[in-house]
This record gives sequence, structure tokens and C-alpha cells, in this order.
Amino acid sequence: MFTSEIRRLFQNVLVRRLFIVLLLGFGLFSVNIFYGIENQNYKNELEQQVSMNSIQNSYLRYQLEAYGSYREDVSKRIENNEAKLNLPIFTDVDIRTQLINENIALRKIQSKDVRILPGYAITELLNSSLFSVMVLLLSCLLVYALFFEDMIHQTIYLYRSTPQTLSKLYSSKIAVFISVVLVYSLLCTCMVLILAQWDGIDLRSPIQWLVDFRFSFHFFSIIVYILVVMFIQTGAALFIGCIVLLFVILTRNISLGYTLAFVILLVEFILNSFIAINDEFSVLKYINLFYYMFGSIDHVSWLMFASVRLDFLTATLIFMLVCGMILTLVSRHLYLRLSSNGFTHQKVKGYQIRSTKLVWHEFLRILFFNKAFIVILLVLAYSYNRYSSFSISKSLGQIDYEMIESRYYGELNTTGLDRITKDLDEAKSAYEFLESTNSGGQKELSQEEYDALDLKARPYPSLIRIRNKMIQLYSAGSRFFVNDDGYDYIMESKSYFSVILHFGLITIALSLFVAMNVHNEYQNKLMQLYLSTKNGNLKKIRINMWLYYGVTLIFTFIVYSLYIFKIQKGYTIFNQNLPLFALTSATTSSMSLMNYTVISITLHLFVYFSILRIVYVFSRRFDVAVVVVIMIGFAFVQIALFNFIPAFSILYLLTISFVNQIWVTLAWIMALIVLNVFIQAKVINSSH
Amino acid sequence: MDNVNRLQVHKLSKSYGKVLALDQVSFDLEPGIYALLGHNGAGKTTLLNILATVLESDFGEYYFNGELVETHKKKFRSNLGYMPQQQQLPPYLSVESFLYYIASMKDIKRNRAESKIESILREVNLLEFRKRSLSTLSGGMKQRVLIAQALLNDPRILLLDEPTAGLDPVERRSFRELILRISEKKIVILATHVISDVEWIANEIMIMQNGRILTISSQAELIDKTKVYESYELLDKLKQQDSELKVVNQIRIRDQIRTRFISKHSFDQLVSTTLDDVYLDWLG
Repeated sequence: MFTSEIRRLFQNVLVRRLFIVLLLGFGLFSVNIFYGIENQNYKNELEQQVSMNSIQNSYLRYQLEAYGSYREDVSKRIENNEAKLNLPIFTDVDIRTQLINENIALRKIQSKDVRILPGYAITELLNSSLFSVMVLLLSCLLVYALFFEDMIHQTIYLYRSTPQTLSKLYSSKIAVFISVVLVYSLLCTCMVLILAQWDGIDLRSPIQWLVDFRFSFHFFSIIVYILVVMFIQTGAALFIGCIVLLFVILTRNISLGYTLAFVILLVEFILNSFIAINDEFSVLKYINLFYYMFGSIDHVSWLMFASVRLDFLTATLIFMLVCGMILTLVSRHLYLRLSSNGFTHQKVKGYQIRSTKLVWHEFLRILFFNKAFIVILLVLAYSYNRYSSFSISKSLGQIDYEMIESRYYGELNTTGLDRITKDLDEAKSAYEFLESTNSGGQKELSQEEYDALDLKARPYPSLIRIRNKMIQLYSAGSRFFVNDDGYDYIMESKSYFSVILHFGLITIALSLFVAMNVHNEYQNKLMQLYLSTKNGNLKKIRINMWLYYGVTLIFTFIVYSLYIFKIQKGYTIFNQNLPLFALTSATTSSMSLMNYTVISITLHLFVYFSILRIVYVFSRRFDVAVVVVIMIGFAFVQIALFNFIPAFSILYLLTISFVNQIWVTLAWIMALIVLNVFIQAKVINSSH
Repeated sequence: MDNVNRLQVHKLSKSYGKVLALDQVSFDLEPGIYALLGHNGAGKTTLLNILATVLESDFGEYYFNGELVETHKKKFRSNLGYMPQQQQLPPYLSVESFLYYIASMKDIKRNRAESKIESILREVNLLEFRKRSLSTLSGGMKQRVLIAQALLNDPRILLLDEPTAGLDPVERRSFRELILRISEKKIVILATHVISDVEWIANEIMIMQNGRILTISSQAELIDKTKVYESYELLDKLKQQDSELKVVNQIRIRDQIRTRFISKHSFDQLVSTTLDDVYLDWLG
């Protein structure tokens, strides 16, 4: 029965195609990360052994900083513990034992050869949560194909008339569901491991270089980490699949069941995002489906379980196994009952819309009665997740330095230089005074006087660095002194990964959204009825196109806004930095930030509108799966071209590159205009 | 509406690749019910799709009340009611909401739509189901919804493609009654291969084969042209008298076989002709 279920499942065209698309999608995405510009740059920088100062804004720089602060933090914690042990007030035996044990563990960490590893690609791949999304999609689809198609098409009654029991049928379906998801996960894991191996990564190295694992005493190796993360995510996806199954059976309504399952995931996401680590409900943060599905599984959770003498993996597996068993048994019981009592996936009462405005009908049809809109919402949720989980690890020294530097951001002129010179002089005299006091050259100071001088003297080293930097920029002709780290990300000259991710996600989401919408109508012969009416031709198409443009505009705007907000979390961009209309000649571009942003947004919209129109034309002819596969292929070709011959890729228009070679940009714009005119002619001709 | 409606079709042709679906079809119709009979694949749906302005012909043109439809499409569409072959309706909408949707496409104002929808739903016996989801309707009810939408704009031309597919005998009878009620002053073209759908209601029968209209005649004329006989003689013997006779059926009665057949020759036992016999005579 197991074999026949598998065979039947893979005879389902949608399952077969989507399985291949998800596998290829993950594979191509992984290849792109490992062989993309950013990973290659990272590896080059690493090989060149360049000094830290010459590395700007790269992943390596943050990793080196994190690595430096990690070594520093470990030494400081050991020193502090030693100092406490030497103090007469720490007499409590328990506290002393705890401090001694902590120092043993810290020394063990210190003695480990934790090197800077080429971990960029793996970190990005796991942080992207793409695997989670793919395995979640696969699970939801499999549950639908295995359990609900029989009920919708009412073949379940046919099965009931055969000698096989429904219980056996249910068990074989569950077995097929788990097996297919596991096979997919195994194939993906193998892909990641092979790519990592080819990338020259030693899979047995400890992962202390990952910020979350800096103080982990478990010394996980890369291979263990990958296996653990991917299989926990698989477990979570299977678990969510069971929840979907349960809800659909309970509600006897497919859409409602799926919606409830996603609401649960949303609640879990809110719990995971908004509960603080030290909150009394923090357990809800970690024993949380969303956390397993999209979280980075950091050392905190490992430690939490270590205190009850269970490592995180075992605890997680036991927890999921028990919950999964309960869910499966409950849904089995309900499935058997439901199969006897009948299944209805539609409610008796339809939606009531009493309007004769076509635009209102089309608006509701496209945005509310269309399941494809969930794809857009999912991508938005994913973008929000990337925004909310984004953090940059900075040492305390670095944070102090950036805070002092931000006081001098603005126009670079003699007034600004005079201001820092004055502050520097004050700090210098306070510093020298304190030095001479410490060496006994001055009279004793009261505590208040000492604190006031110390406060003035502390920024002295930073001020010297900042002043030198300002003078250097001033003599080079710069008009502004700004922290332009963030500008490189906004202008996407450094964050190719984000460019590629956004491009891929938006293209695929728009393709699914439009294709499912359009193809559904055109496949259904009802379109002939619409076409025979007065407004069912050009007016309907025009309204639909405007609605698609609107969705694309808002969707693209939100995705990129979340991206900008994400950067704003780590860098100063809009607050006290460069005025919006100032020329950023000191930075990467010779354009003002405002002009750049306006042109860039216009180009983004132009590109995505063109993609939308291509998908619209394809969707009227081809099946949804075919259109999506074509568009995924298109996206990957563009990404590959961007990596090797950037000027030949449409992504050229989505990065700062468009400023650099204006002729290439104009050529691309002309090509897109011609394409759009051609598409317009096709749309108009067919709608006559 | 006082003008007599007239549909003139002149040499319409359409091919899909190498397959000729319509071959120089021409006719001239005035108000009445026209049954378009033909096998599956005869070109009925292609002809209706072209007349419904959904599909473009390769050659030929057609006129409605003297106006070339190609150049007056919008006006023509305002006078058109089209019911395509049975298909899935938007499952989430109620019966009434679907009709409002179609009303928005037919450019009917809200006040008029409200009263019109109510009267049509009453006409097709769906008033009590107006709030029901389309997905929960039976095949017959869905067909009635589709007829209702076709009537929303008081069409002068009504094109119905296989309107009774999937209906039970009682529903078929109600459908025939409905068509008779609504057909006054309209040109109704009803494409089907089910003879009983059009028997007694069609003024004229159009028989179609391989993309051509073979004849347009009244039922009486067609029945008159087809001679049907019954005989207990062996078929081989009958064929000796007319090698081209068409067997309608053969029934065993005790030790004998009674053969019902169509022939151009004259035989002893002439029996009454049905429309089924006519269909077989032309298309069998």
C-alpha cells in the first residue's frame, strides 16, 4: 500500500513538478550563494590576509571584529572571575564553585583552536531560512495531495468499499508523507554538505565563530550544526503538516484549516519575536514552532536544556516526537470518523457582493478570493522576519567609537574641524592631567572631580582617530563627513546577496500570484462568457492589470522598505547623517541619496512591472507550474549573468551599477520599453 | 426593440492548424429558436464562439440588423446573451453575487440589476437559492444560473451551447419550457447533439457536419423528407433492394427480428418519422 501511495502521489503532476522545482530552487540558490560574488570576495579577502583597516563593510570585517571581541570577552570573563575569587567578600562555597567551574569551561573554550573560517556562505544559507520555507511548502502540498484530494473528489468512498481498512490507508499516507519530506531534506542536506566541502570548508571545525555559539561549551562542528538545524527544521515542517491535517479535518474546510495552521505559526512568530530572553515566559520563545522553523537555534536554547542534563537536540526530538505522535493519533481518529461522515470543503453560503462596479468585483476576486495572494503575504512575512531577526555584533569599544563619531556628522568645513579640535584639546588636557595625577605629580582629587575628568578624557583616543579621518576627507575635497557604511547597502553595491534574494523572491511570488490568477480564469471556459460581454474584454483586462500593478507596487515597496529599515537598525542612514539632497561624492556614488533612491525605486518598479507583464502573457497560454518554472529559470539565468557578466543581467538596473555605465543602463531601459510595447500589442490584440 | 432582429452570416471560415473547423458557413436568421445539431467536433462550438465575439474567424463576416459586428462589437455585445458549455463557476460566490458580477461586465446599472436579477432568479426557479454558494449547486442548478446570466441584459440574440448537458429528464423539460417562455422576438441558437432538447421547441433545425451547414429547415420539412420503414425481413434481403439503407435499430420479437430503417426507396411498411431518424439520416 505504501508503494502504491507513493506511485499515486508522484503521478500527480503538481506534486512531481513542485518537488523538482523546490529541489532545483534550493540547489540553484545554494550554488549561487557559494559561487556568488560575495562569497568569492570574502574568500579572496581571507586569502590575501589583508589588514582589518583596509577591509570595508565586508562580512569578514564583522567576523574579525566578532572574533576579536570573542577572544577579548573570554579573557575578560576569566580575569573577572579570578578577581572575584581573590576578593574576601566571595566566601560562599556555592558561588566559588560556580566561578571555578565557569573558568574551567572558559579556559577550555580559550584553548580551542577557533579560527576564522570561510563561513560566509553557510551562515547566509542557514540564515536565509530558504530551506524552511521550501520544506514547509512541500509538507503543506503533500498533506493536501495525500489526504484531501481523495475527499474532494470523493474517491474516499471508493476506497472504503475495498477490503483494505481506512486505518491502514491512513498509516500508509502518513508514512509516505514523512518519507517524502525526509528524502527531500536529505537531498538538500547532501547538496549543502557537498557545496561546503567543495568550497574548502573543514566540516569538522567548531562553530565558535558564529556569534550565537561564542560561549557554547558543546563545541559543535559545522557538519553537526548543519545536520541539526536542517533536521530540526524538517521536524518542524512535518509537525506543521500534521497541524494542517488536524485543522482541516476538524473544520472540514480546506481553506479554513490551512489558514488556522498559518495563524498558529503567526502567533508563534509573535511569541518568538516579542518575548525577551529574561522574561518569565521565555520558555514560549524557545519551545516554539516558529523558532524551530526559522530560528538560528542559538546556544541559549542548548544551555537551557543542558541545565536539565539534556542536550537541545535530544530534547527537541523527544518533544516533537511526543507531540507529533499525539497529533497523528488524534488526526487518525478524526480522519476515520470524517471518512465515514462525509467531507465538505465549501461552505453552503457564498460571499455576498451586491455591486455592479466591475472594479470592485475584480479587486475582491484578485485580492481576497484568490489563494495565490497568500504567496505575497508569505514573502512579506519572510521579509519582516529577515528585518526583525537582523542584528550586527559590535564590541563595546566599537559602539562607543561610533557614538562619538556620530556627533561630528554633517557638513565638512572649518567650523566642524574647529569643533573637533576644541573637543580634542579639552580631552587631551583632561587626559594629561589624569596621567600626571596617577603618577603622583598632582594633588589628590575628590571622587567627583576624578569622574568628571575621566568622562572628558575617555574619548581622547577616539577623537584623535576621528579628527585624522576628517582632515583626510577635507583635504580630499569631501563636503560631508558621514558614516557611509549603510549607504553601500542601500545602494546595493555590497549586499549582492540581498539583491539576488529580493529579485528571486519577488519574481517567483509575482509569477505565482499572477499565474494562478490569470491561468485559472483562462483555463476555465467561463472566460468565454466574460469575453462575450461589453466590459469583459478590454475594461476587465485593464482593471486587472492596474490591480496587479498596485499589488506589485505595494509589495515591492514593503519588501524594500523592510530592507532599508533593516539596514537602519545597524547603520546610521537617515537620522543625523547626510542631507537627502547632498551629493554623496564622499561615498560610493556621485548622486544625492534622494535622487538615487527615486531613480532606483523607479527602475525597480519598471523591472518588476515588465516581469509582471511577461508572466501575464505566459499565464494565458501555459500551466501555472510551467510559468513558474520558466520564471525561476529566468531569475536564475539573470542571477548567473549578474555574477559573471553583470551588464548582461537585468539586475544591473537594480544596483548602483546603473549609475556607473549610463549607456548600458539606457540600453536596458530601451530593451524593456520595446518588450513592453510588444507585450501591450499582444494583450490588446487578444482582448480586441 | 421594435425592429425585427436579423442575423446574417456570410462565408465564415475557421481552421485550427490543418483542421478546418468551419467551412464557409452562411445563413440568414430572423427571430425564432434554431437548433444547431451535429456530432461532437462538427464545429458547433466554434460557430457559437465566433458569433459570441469570443473567437475571430479566419474569413467571412456577419451582420446584426445590417451592422457589421466586427466594427460594432460593443453594441452587438450589449444585445448578446451567451451561455458557454458547462464549466466551473467561481466557487466562493453566491448565486446572486455571481449575477451581480456578470451585470457589472454587461454594464447594467445597480438599480436595474437589482430588479432584473430578482425577476430572472424567479424565472429560473432559483430565488430561494440566491444566497447559496455556487459550489454547492447541482449540475442542473448551475445550468440555470448560466441561463440566468445570459438573460440579464435582455438580449436580442441568445447563444446556448449544450445547455442541457448533465440535466435529468425533469430538468430538461423545465429547461425547454423556460426557453419557450423567453424566446419571444429573440434569435435563439441552441447547439446540442441531444435531439429531445429541441424536439417541439425549435422552429428551424440547422444540421452541421465537418464545419458545414448541411441544411436549415423546419422540423416538419425534415421529417417529411426522411422516410422510415419497419420490416421483419432479413437485413441482407432488405439490402438487396436498397444497398444504401440506414438501419435505425433492430429488435428481436419472439423468433423474428424487426428492423427499422431509413431508405430513399419505397417499402411496404412506412412508419412515422422522429427527429432521431432525421438526425441519423443526415449524420448517421
